[in-house]
This record gives sequence, structure tokens and C-alpha cells, in this order.
Amino acid sequence: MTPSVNDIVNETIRTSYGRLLAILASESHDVMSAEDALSEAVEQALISWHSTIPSNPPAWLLTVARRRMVDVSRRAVRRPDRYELHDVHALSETDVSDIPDERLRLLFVCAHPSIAAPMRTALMLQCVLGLSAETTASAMLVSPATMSQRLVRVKAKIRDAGISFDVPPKELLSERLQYVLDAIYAVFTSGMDVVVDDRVTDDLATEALYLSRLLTEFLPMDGDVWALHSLMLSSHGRKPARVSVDGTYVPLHQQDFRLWNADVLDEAEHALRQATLYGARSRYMIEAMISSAHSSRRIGHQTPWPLIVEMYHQLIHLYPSVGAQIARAVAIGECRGYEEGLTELLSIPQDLVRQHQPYWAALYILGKGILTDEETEHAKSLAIGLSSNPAIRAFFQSV
Amino acid sequence: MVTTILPFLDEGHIMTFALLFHERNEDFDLRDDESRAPAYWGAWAAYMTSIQEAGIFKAGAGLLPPTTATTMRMNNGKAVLHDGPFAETKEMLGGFVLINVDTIDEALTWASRAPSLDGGSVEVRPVLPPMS
Repeated sequence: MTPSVNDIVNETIRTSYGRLLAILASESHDVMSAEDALSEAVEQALISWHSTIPSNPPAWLLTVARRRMVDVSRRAVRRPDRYELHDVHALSETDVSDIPDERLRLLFVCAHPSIAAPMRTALMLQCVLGLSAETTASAMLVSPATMSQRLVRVKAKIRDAGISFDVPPKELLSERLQYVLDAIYAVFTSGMDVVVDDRVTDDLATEALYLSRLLTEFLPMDGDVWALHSLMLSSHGRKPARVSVDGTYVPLHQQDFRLWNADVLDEAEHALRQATLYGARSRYMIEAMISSAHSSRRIGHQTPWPLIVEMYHQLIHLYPSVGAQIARAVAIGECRGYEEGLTELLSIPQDLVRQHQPYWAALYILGKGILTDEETEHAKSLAIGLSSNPAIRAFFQSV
Repeated sequence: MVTTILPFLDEGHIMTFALLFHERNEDFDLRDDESRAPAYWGAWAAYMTSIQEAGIFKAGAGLLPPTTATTMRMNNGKAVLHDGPFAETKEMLGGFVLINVDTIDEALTWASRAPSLDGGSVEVRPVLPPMS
């Protein structure tokens, strides 16, 4: 069966959306009109391709979208010089892969510090991965109408505030890169399993890994890029063991390591070596090392809890966070006894953790048998009630 | 109308949202299923405790199953009673809660924790400001 025009259009969008948008946006410095032009080109394709399917669909879309942008910019009185016509005619014959991949620039634009942090992640989902506003909204747990408004506002800001489309200069690179890494990690940890349009992927973790792999290709000599990639790979590689057959969450140190994905974890180790080689210094490096330590059970080691505690000390010293403090308390509990872990946990200021599910989960696990029944039941209640994850709710209901 | 509501919807003000929990028929059946009822009620109790402890609870109630409903309508000026809910749909209202939070994003976060999401849904709606 020959694929339909719709199929070909969809396939072209799936494989090329981010690349095409990045090219258009970095030429015009205007994400919004680049998107408009691209979507008009797609509409055009749905009509024109019925008679002839172009030999190079992405190049066709790019050419039509570029013409569209030229038209629009000629008509716009306020910004007559925003967009310069380069070589539209020459382009229809070129392969898109011959044009430099501009997605790195687009990543830096999306994660620019003058954009609010949650919107950096949303922009990446939409502009680089080509997800719809609805999917982006679901992933970020924001109402679709609100998300669309915010996206429009932030894209107007990119256009009007003169946010640079250049890769940041050397002296700024590591700082700016941190924002890119944070936004990608937020995609990874967004926690909601979202059906990503009609893509074949099952969740956003896969999308985040796609972005971090892309970064390792753009910046192969940056340790921090490798560190984040390693951290996400090792967490992703253990995913098959995270939920039992009956849909209940399984804590990391109780997971059956034979269910882990060995290839992915090998890749994580390789990425960690690259990170070391290229001098990673971000918090992702320490977290990647901790994650890798948890994986060492698969090569016949015990979980090295004392080492993990040490690494959490470092992490908290350099990058303090409530999450890391809770994780350290649990690790201390595992190697020096729950009593000591509990003391550590209870030293965290209460106002930081009142609505923080991991705290109540840890309090229940460490406090069982030490605290009063009433206290542990209360902790369990909040560990269930504050969770959005059915597998985690099922776990605490079963213990 | 718009002008009176808009200031109320501004971000940063405390807003009241209704979370309407819709459950499937089989979820209502869980309530009396001997082996699964404890998990069902346990999840709701934990959820409600968390809402209470967050200090955002305003009001709320769980509802008996739709089979217990009686619906009234006017037909040619006469009240007509009908046995059952106002419409048979795949999901039925099982309960609701009113919460006071700053933004709809917060309301959505609380919605995402609702046990009715296991198979059912949660509708999030801002509550009208008090009439003055």
C-alpha cells in the first residue's frame, strides 16, 4: 500500500519539524511567524501533494514557508527589514540536511534567562519537539487555554525583546547551558505520562532523552551535557522494574535488576565516562554518579549506601535542595539504621515539606516502628494523598 | 458581568475552585466490593486529609451512587419526576470539593492527585465570586 498524502505530511512533520522551525526562526528571529509560516506550508502541502509528492518533502516545506515569511514581512509596515530573502529558488533543490542544523540556537533561545523557567520547558516541547499546545499543557499540568496564552506572550517577547539567536559566547556558555539542561531535565521529571500526540513514544522521558542526545551531538566536548544525559539514561534504563505486574510501585533498592534495560544502562555508564573526561561540574554530575551507584547491583555489588550518603553530602553542600536532603536521610537510614535516618529527616524545616510527597513517603518508611502508629498512619495518608501517580498510591496502600 | 469577574480572576488573589469528581459505574461498584473497598476508601481518605492539611479546604461532599438519584423536570408546567440521574453517561458525578488556592495551576495540581483519575476524570471549575 502506498502511504497517503496525510501520512507523508505527518511523517515529514514528525522527523523534520524542529529542524525546519529552527532554520526559519533563526533567520527571522521570530518564533511565532516561523511557526505560522510552517503551519501554512503544511496546509499547502496537504492540498498540493495530492497531485505530485515532492522528491524532498522537508525542503519543499521549507521553501514554501520561507516564501510565506517573505510575503508577510513585506506586508508588515512596522518591521520591513525583519526578514531578508536569501535564496529561495536555489533551496527547493537542496537537501535540508545540507543546511546547518539550527536546533542548538533554538534550544538556547527557548531556555533564555529572560523567559520564566516553566515556560522554557514548554517552549522546548513545542518548538524543538513540535508537540501541540494541548500536549504541552498536559505535560506541564496547566490548562490548555492558559498554556496557549502564555506561549503566545512568550513568543512575542522573543520577537520584541531582541533575544539573541546566536549560540552564547564562550564566557556565557556554561551559565546559559545550565538553563537548557534544567529545562530538559524538567521535561524528563514532569512525571505525568502523557500520550504525545500520535507519536510512537510512550512518554515525555523519551522526548527528554531525544533532546539530551541532540545536545551531546552539538556539544560533544561538554561534560555537563554528558552528565545530564547519563543521569536520565540510568533512570530510564531502570524503568521496566519500577512498577510491578499488578501496577504497584517498586522502590529502587527492591527492584529486580534483571528487569533493568542493560543496553540503556551501559549507555549511561559510557555517558558518565564522557562527563568525567570532559570535566562536568554541574549538580547533574553528582546526581549521575549517585544514579550509577544504584545501578551497580546489576554487576553483583551491594548498593554502596555509605558512598551514596557521601555524594549526597556533596550535592547538598554545592546545590542545596529539599529533595536531596530527603534522599540523603533515606540513604543514611539504609546504612546507619532508620533511627539515624529519621533524625536527619526531621531536621528539615517543616514549612518546606508540608505539601511535599517524597517527605511523607520517607517519613513513613523510616518512621515505621519508631514513631507512634498515629504518626506513621498520618505520614502514609499524605504520601498517598499528595501523589499523582497511581502506582505510588497503590504501593503505600499495600504496605 | 465581565468587569465584576475579571479582577477576581487575577493571578495572586485567592480563588475558589470546585473539583468535580466523575467516576465510572464500575468505580461506584468498588465502594461495596469487599476486597477492593478498603483501597478505594483509603485513597479518598488520604486525598481529603491532604487537602485539609494544606489548609485549602472550603467545603465538599461525596455522593451516593447515581442509582439513588431522582431527577425533577418541568413538563407543560408540571413537575415530572424521573428515577435516576439527569443523564446516563459513562462517567457520573461521585463527589466534589471546593478549595481555596491562588491559581488554576494549583487547582490542577490538586486535581491530578484525585483518586477518580484512575479511570474517571476531574472537572475543575472556578466558583462565582460572592454576589454583592
